Amino acid sequence: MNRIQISLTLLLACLCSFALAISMGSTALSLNEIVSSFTGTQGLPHTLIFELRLPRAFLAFICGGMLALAGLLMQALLRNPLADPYILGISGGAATGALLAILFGMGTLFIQTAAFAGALLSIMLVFALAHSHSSWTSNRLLLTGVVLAAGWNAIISFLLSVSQSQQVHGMLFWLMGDLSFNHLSYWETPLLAVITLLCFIFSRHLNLMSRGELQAAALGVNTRQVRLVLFATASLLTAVAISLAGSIGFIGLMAPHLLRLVTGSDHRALVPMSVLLGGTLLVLADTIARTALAPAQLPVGVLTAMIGVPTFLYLLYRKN
Amino acid sequence: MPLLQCNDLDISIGKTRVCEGLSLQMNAGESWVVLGKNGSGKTTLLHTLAGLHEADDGEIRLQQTRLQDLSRQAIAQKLGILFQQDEQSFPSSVLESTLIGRHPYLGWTQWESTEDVQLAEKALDKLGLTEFKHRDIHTLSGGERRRVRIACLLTQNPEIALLDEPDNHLDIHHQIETLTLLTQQFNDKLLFMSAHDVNLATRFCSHALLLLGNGETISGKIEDVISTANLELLYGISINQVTHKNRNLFIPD
Repeated sequence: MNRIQISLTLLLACLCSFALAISMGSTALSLNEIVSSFTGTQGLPHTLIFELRLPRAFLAFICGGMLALAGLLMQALLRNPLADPYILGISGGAATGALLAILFGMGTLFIQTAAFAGALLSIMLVFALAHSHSSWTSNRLLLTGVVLAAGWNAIISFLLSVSQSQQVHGMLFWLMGDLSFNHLSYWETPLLAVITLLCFIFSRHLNLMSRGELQAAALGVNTRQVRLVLFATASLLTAVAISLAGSIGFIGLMAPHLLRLVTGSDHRALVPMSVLLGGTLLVLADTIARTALAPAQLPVGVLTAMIGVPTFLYLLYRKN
Repeated sequence: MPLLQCNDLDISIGKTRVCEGLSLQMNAGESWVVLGKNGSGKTTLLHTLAGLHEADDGEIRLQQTRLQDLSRQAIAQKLGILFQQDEQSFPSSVLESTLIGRHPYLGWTQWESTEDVQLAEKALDKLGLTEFKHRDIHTLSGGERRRVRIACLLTQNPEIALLDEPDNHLDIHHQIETLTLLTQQFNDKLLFMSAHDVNLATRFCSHALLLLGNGETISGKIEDVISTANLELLYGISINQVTHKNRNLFIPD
């Protein structure tokens, strides 16, 4: 498949995922009802679609897109195929913040703020520790992040073990990712759009960075600056996504790699396609998460893994 | 006006003193070889000349401008470097890997044009890699990948080419072919390479720099610098000189 075919397929998949997301749920909607709810302003289908399902699908799309883009940037920054948005311990910091807020019985807004604060704290810790020496290599950054993540994990386990059982349920959902408790406000979508556009414009630099910093510097990239911008951008995207939806795994690792398997490593294609694929995957996963065992809701992270792992393995082995 | 010069340059890495008070003037049309034992700092010297390692003291001038006053992009338009190692960890086609040589000439919103692609294809052709154009570089052998990197350098087409052991990974057929090609391509420009093969160096280079490992250096025209006495001093083993078909060859005892 060439790039145009892949882009069209992705767009189509994206539209289908939205169609599924608005038609499936506790009340299944027929095509007729959906069409009439787009033309009218009244009725149950209209309320279901415009107040519940569509906002949630958008939230899923934006979070998925952010995580996929953050993963792609982390992989270019660390030149490590295993890098995902959480590899530098950002999710650990966010989770600690969120779990503390849940432990003290605070509301959604506080949980979100605490998660964001925890993510920022973690980012600054990694940055300060890895930056204290004059040479700020990818390996040093990676090791600092991985060690900090282990530390956060210990704190998370501690918080889980001292919490009361009714709180633990909410905590586990948060840890596995959950889109049911939140909604988008006005700024997340433009943020993702602007960052995607900037990454697309600078995709030649990303191509070079992923070939090694010496090589990039030798071909005229100001690596020190680019490294800092990449780190800050990827961290910001991750912190926003995680504070909206908890730590959803796999999207950030999988979406860029799936695309590399079919289009190669050119970031001009990878940047927009990752956002599209990451968003689509999360919309699908979330739709299944809220309908598979309805009325019970599953954590969406379980679904991303269940969809992602077999797809990924299939593509990997088909290629060989 | 020398293309590249260093004045009173001190370079060290860790505890190794690479050179002290090194002053060199390198002009267009010359090709330099730097020789030294393993760990004497040949790579560090090359990186320093490319502005990728900071010198302890002294200055490097690219044409007349001090290296640290130039942006990375301005340096990359004049000076290219072939690294010893390849860090690419994601899949990438041979053509993509060659095309990155045009990066220094493109504005930040520009993408490679068809002319850029043609330049890359021409370079691949010169290195006999045309048939590999769409292959992933990870499916190539070490020597073939090395030649892709050299094609990338030709696509960059700088006035100064720094080569870190260009004969590395290449069989003797491709050693001779590649070095012949490089000396032809950079005929009126400046080549500066590190190497271990003294006889290859005397065949292709006009000037030599010896790094003795204690900060001392010997430099000059190759026929003045490469002698059994100097090579014995450099490598610490006894060396014989033989003449074959009018060429001086140096072989260890």
